[in-house]
Amino acid sequence: MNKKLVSTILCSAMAAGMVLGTGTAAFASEGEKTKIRMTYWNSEDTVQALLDYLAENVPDVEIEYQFIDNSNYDTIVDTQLSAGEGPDIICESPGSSLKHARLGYLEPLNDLGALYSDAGTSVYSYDGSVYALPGISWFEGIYFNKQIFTDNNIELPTTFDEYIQVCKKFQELGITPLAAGLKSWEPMLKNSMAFVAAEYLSTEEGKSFGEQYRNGEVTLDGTWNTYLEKWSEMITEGVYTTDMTGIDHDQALEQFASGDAAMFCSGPWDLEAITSKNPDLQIDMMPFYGTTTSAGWLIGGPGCGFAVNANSANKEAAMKIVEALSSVEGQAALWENNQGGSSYLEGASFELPEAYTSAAPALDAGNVYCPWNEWGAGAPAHETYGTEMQSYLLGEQDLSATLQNVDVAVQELLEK
Amino acid sequence: MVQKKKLEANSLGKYFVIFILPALVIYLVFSILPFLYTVFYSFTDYTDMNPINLSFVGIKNYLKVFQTPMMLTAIKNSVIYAILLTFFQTVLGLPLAVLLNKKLKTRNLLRAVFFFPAVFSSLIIGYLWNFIMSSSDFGLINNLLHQLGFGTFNFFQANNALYSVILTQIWQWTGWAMVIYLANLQSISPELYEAADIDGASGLKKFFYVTLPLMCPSVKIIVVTGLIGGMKVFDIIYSMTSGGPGNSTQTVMTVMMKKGISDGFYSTGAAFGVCFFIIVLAISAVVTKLMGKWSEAIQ
Repeated sequence: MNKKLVSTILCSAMAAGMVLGTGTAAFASEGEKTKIRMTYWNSEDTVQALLDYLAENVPDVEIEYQFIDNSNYDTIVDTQLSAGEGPDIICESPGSSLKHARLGYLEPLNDLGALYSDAGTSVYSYDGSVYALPGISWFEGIYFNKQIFTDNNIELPTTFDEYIQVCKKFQELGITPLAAGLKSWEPMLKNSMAFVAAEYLSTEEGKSFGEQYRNGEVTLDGTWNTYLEKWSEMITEGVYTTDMTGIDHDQALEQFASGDAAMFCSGPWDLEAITSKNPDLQIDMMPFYGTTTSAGWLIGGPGCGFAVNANSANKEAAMKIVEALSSVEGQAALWENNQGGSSYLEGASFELPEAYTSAAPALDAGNVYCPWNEWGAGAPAHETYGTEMQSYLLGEQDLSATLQNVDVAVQELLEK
Repeated sequence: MVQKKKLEANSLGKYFVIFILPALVIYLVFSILPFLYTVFYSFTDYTDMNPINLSFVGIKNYLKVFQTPMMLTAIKNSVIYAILLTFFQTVLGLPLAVLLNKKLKTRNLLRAVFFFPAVFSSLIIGYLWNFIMSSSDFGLINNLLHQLGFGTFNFFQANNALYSVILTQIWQWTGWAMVIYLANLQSISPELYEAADIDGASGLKKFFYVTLPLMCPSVKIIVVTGLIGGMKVFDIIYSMTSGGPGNSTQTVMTVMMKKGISDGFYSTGAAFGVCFFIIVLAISAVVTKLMGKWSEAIQ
C-alpha cells in the first residue's frame, strides 16, 4: 500500500514538473532571442568585432559561432546539409558555394548581392542567382624585410626578371632571398599562378580562360606551359630549391621573421605572427610581377562568402544577420579583424595598414586574382596543382606531365 | 525447498544470448552494417554531388582504383611502411627486451626511456620530428651537420620522405614492442636456462634455442598488429608530410580521406576501402598461417 502511495506521489510530482517545465519554457520563449548557428573555418577571434557588432545591432538574434578546422570543414558541412540540417549561416568557399547551390542547399541572396561588386559576387553565382555574400578579400604577396634591402642597396623589383636579379644578388651576399615552406603545396601554387595571372590571365586573350576551362574547352597543358617555363627560372636560378621541401610554413616564417631571409610569400593572416616574433622587423609587401612593368598582381579574392541555409528553421533570423552584414558598418566590423583585405560592398573602403604600402598600387588597380576560383566544381583541384608542382620541382616529372595531371583531376571533378 | 540450478560456464542457455546480445548489436551496427554499406556504395555512383539518386555502375569504381596512379602509390607505400616498421620493431625490440631483462642497475629507468615515445600521440611525435628533421637552419640534425661542415640533408625528398617517416615510427614503437616481449620473457621458466647452462650452452645459443622459440606468442602479436596497424597509418603521415612532397608519401588512409571524403568521390573511396580490406585480409591470413607453422614447429 505504502509503495503504491509513494509511486503515485512520485508520478504526480514528475507529471507536474513536466507541465510546469513546459509552461516556463513557453513563457520564457516569448522574450527570448532566436538562436542561430554560424560555421566558419577561421577561429572566432577573426570575426570577434563582427559578432559584437551583430549582437548590438540585431539584438533579437543570438549567434552560436562554430569553428570547424579547414581540413574537415567541407566534409562536416556537406554531411549536415545533405541530412537537411546544418548551420543557419554558412561561410562558403567559392567552390563549395557552387556545389551547395546546385544541390539546392542555399537560399538565393540576389537583393543583398546587388549591393556588392560583381568581382565579389561572380564567384558565388550559379544559374543567374547569387548564393553567398563576399566577405573581406584575402590576398597574398611577397613580404620583404626593408632593412635588408636598404642595407644592401637593393632596389625593389618591378618585373619578374628584376625579381630574379634581386634574388641572385641576395644569393651572392650569402642571404637567403626567399624563405619558403615547400613542404606545403601552397607556396608554389600561388607564386606560379600569380605569374600566369600577370602574363596571361589578365590579358584579353586569357581573360576567358577560367570560363573555358570549367566548360572543358581548354586545358592547362598546352596553354600555360610557355608561362610556367619562364616562371621555372624560380627553380633553375635556385630561388626555390629541393631542400625547401623539408621546410614547413611555420619554419619558413621563422626564418623570415628572424631576419635570415629577405622575403617570404604570405598574406595578412601571418602579419601578427611575424611581428610578434620580431617586433623590430621593418616589413612591407610587394606584389608578384610578370615580365612587363605593371602595378603587379596579388593572389587572392573573396575567400569566405556568407550564405544562408535554405533548410534553416530560422531563415528569417539568418536573413537579418546577412542584411546587417551588408552595411558599411557591418563590413567595417568584419574588416576590424581582417585588416589588409578590402570589402566588395559598394561604398565600403578602408585604410590600408602600413605593412602593405608597396602592395597598394596592385590593390588600387584591382589586381587581386585567384585563378582557381574560376574553375567551378574543379576548384578543389588547385591542391593537386600544388602537389604536382612539388613533383616538378623535385624533377620527378616535366611541366607537361605536371599540367596534364592537374587537367585530369579538374576533369574528374567537373564530371562528378 | 527447491534447489537453485547451478549454471555451468558452457551451459548458460538463454542467458548466453542475453549476455552476448548488447555486444553483438553494437558490433553489427557499428562494424558489419557500415562495411556492408561500403560494399554496396562501391558499386554505385555515390558522390557529394549525387547523394540520393544512386545508380548501379558495376565494377567501374574498382577499375578506377587500379587506374589511378595515386591510389596504387598509396597501396605500395602502405605495404612498404607496414613491412619495414614491423620488421624493425621485431628485430630491434626483441634483443632490447632480452637486454633489459637482465639484472642491470638502470633497468627500470632504461625500460621507461625506451617505452616513453609510445606514450605520446603520433601527431605530437610527427610535429617534433618535423622540427628535428627540418632542412631549415632551425632543424636540429641539419644544424649539427652544418656545424660539422657538412651540407644540408633533406629528409623530405620524394625518394626518402617515406623512409624518414618510418624511421620516426621505429623510434616511437620499438619500445612498445620491447614491453610486449618483456612480458613474454618473464613468463619463461628459469629452469630452462639453468638446464641450458648445465648443458654448457653459450648466451647466443640460449637466445636462439630457448628464448626465441618461446617468444612465438609475442612475436605473433607484434607482427599481426604491426602489419595491420601499419597498413592503416594516417596520423604520422598527416603531421609529417601530408602525403607529400608530390604524392610520394600518400598512404591508403590519406588517399581515402582525400579522394573518398574531401573530394566527395564516396563510391570510389568505398571501392578503395573494399580493396584495402581484401589486401589486409590476405596479409593477415598469410602471417597467421606462417606464425601457426612456427608454433607447430616449436611444439
